[in-house]
Amino acid sequence: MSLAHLSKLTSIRVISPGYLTDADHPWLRALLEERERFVGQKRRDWKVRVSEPLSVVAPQRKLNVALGVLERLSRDEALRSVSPRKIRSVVFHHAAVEPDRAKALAEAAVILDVSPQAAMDGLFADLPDERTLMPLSTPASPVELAHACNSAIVASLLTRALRVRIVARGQIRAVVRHARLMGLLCHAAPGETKEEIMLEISGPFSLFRHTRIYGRALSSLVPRLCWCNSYRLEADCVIGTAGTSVGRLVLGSGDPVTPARELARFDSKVEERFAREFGKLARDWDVVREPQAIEAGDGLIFPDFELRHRMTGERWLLEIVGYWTADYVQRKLSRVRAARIERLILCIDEERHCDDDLLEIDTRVVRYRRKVDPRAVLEIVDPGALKDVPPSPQKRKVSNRPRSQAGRMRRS
Amino acid sequence: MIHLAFDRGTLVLRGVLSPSSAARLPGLIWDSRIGCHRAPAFRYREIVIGLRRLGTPYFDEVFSLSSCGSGAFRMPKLRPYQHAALMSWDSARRVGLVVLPTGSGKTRLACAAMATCEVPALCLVPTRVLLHQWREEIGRHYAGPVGCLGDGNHRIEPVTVATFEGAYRNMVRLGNQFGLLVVDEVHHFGCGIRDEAIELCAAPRRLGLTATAPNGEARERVIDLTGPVVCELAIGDLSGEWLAAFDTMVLTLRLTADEQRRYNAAVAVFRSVFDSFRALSKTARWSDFVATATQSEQGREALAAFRYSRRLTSYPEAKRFALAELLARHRTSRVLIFTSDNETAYTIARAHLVMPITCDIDRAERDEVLSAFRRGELRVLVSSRVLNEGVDVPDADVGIIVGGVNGEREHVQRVGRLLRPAPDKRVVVYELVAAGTHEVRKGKERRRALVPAIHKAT
Repeated sequence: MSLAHLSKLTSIRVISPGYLTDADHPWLRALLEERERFVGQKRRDWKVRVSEPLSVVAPQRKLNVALGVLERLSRDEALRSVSPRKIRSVVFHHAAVEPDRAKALAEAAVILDVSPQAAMDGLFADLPDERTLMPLSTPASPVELAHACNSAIVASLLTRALRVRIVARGQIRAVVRHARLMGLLCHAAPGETKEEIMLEISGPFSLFRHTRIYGRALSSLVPRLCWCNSYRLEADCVIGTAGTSVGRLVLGSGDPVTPARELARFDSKVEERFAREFGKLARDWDVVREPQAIEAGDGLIFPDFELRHRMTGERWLLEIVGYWTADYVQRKLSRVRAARIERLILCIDEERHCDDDLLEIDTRVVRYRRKVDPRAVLEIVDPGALKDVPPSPQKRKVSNRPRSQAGRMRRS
Repeated sequence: MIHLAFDRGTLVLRGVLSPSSAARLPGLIWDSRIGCHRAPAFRYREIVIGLRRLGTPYFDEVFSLSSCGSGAFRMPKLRPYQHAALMSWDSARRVGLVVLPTGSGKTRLACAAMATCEVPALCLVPTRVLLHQWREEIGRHYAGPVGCLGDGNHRIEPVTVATFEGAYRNMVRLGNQFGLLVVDEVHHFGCGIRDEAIELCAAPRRLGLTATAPNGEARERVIDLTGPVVCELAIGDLSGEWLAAFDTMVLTLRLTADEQRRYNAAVAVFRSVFDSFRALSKTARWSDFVATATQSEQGREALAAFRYSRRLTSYPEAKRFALAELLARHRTSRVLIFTSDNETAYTIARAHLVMPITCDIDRAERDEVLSAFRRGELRVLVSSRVLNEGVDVPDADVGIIVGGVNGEREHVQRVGRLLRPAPDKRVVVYELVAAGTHEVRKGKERRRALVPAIHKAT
């Protein structure tokens, strides 16, 4: 299944995720109690226990999800005074020369200064199934466990997504930035109301088939949607073992999704550093974070900064680009020109490009490595201001490795 | 003029291309999202050939290649069959699959391919163990630093070795940085799940390596990704001259009455569900059955019964006795024991105080153990899967196959572990088979993978 096939479908059935509800709390409670009982016992004993029925009947699929969540919350440790690796080394080396098993074990135990039984008990004590279960890293109630399970169900479905469509209000920029950071194609357009923005996001390879790499990237967007004022998401997901069927997952504000950590003030150190350094360099300019998205052609552009001259009110927009190709940048600049947006600067990271640097020289493109040079930006927005600013010390450029020109081939 | 560029695991073609021309370029689709044509990166070579045949001028901006350094590669010394495989691959325009038995030096062949091409090369290997093994081997024939991607490492150099997982996670960025892609144990591909690691790479030169080429749809898919089979040799073609000669002994062992009763009961439960399923869907795969069975109580019981029946035959009483006998008989030999699962490996390790090599044993300890085995300080190793493929296991002359689940391929790989040549070396492989169980039929199928090869050579 691919985007190309998707476009030919006349209807797509909506998936019912099968969330855990209040009706599942009794068996979740039984599971948590059982888990508590096994604290101090070996992980392999816990595995045997959960392969048998609980005291309260649990739907198998939901139980598997809950066990997966518990596994992520579980901690364990190997409680041994002598390193199991050392025990193995001594015991097996002795057994290689002494054909009598009991004698070999006894001799090894003497060297290890433990009893033969302790040597046997410690032989594989560091391996995962031999480790001792500790209390959960985060204590959970049935309600919390149910919520975590539902988040896991959503995340798992979303990794099968070919494409997502989002309508959201507020804080949408973080979603757009993250989409681009993850190498996704993101088209933004105005929504039906002034506050709404519509996004259509997919992976480059989705045109041909679903891939794990881009499915996971799409799944990673959803926790950031929780920070929007409201959102509705439709994800077209490949379902079934043959991978030829599609189902639509619909999510909205209030659905069980674990939010991302509180959004950082800046999306990256590059942005943070630029804002600080430009502010110090260009005293007549204000640096405004995350101005309004602006329309350009049939879509929206999300500049990272607006640079505003305090006296004249002159404004420039600046966007720091993640993944880029020469093609992407050229098209963006074309859209910007067509929309008569004259004052937008694109900063492109030379270490995150996807093809060789045959980008046409453009006065509004600033290349950078690790940091955006505020002087290069100031030279564009206010060339006269640079006369009053002393030049910055030159650093010797060190190239990691020579790049050949072999990538460029002109053929006819 | 068409501009061809790499974009996150795909190729983008900018410029005017007529629909009839576009239809003749493999994998090319119009992408309305960007207003250009797009193709999977692995189609690069075919697309360039297609553009030339069409007489369409194009500007190729796909690759961003580093320099390997002049004279950095050294051609390794090759055996005649390795040389023949290299020539076959070279004459197939450096795109193809080479099938050579385990222990016949596929890594060395890959180094020879790199020395032939003298372009940046990316080698994909299935495990962390092989990652470091390959780096060492390449280092003997290449003067530059060898990069490493996977097992916590992220160092990209003109010649880099990556695990399948490391490659899949990074290919969107790396896919245009190498001119040669080498895929070890390529039979792991072709089923869709891992194929992304190869599909997202634009490298025009490809070498797939395996001891056991896949069959059916998977074979077609692997050929599509890495090229046609250009050379195929089996164990029997090399045994006795380039690989050690070997004998196989099948020990058919009876379960106890209780074990047999429990096995029969479990199989009956499984069969009652599985046979009904197969009657309805004759072409369905095992994964389809599992997906269906998990949705009903009866189906889940059938799967549990299936797993139980397999556990019963993995290490029943008769195999325990037989193994103890064989270990006592071959006390002075170097022995590799293969099991069907980790649990059996640890049981054997405890019972006989022999070192297990499983995925839970970390690399440092594993290397230490293999060195001790090489020096003769340890004489027996037991493993379920880790020693199946590619790992440079030192000389062993006895193999005991206590159990196995993955059929012919696994069997060929395991026997191959033992066939490293040495003067006057003759290997004996014991296969322990539980009578009256599925193992009898499976065992015959496994040995068929070796037998035709032997007959072919005689």
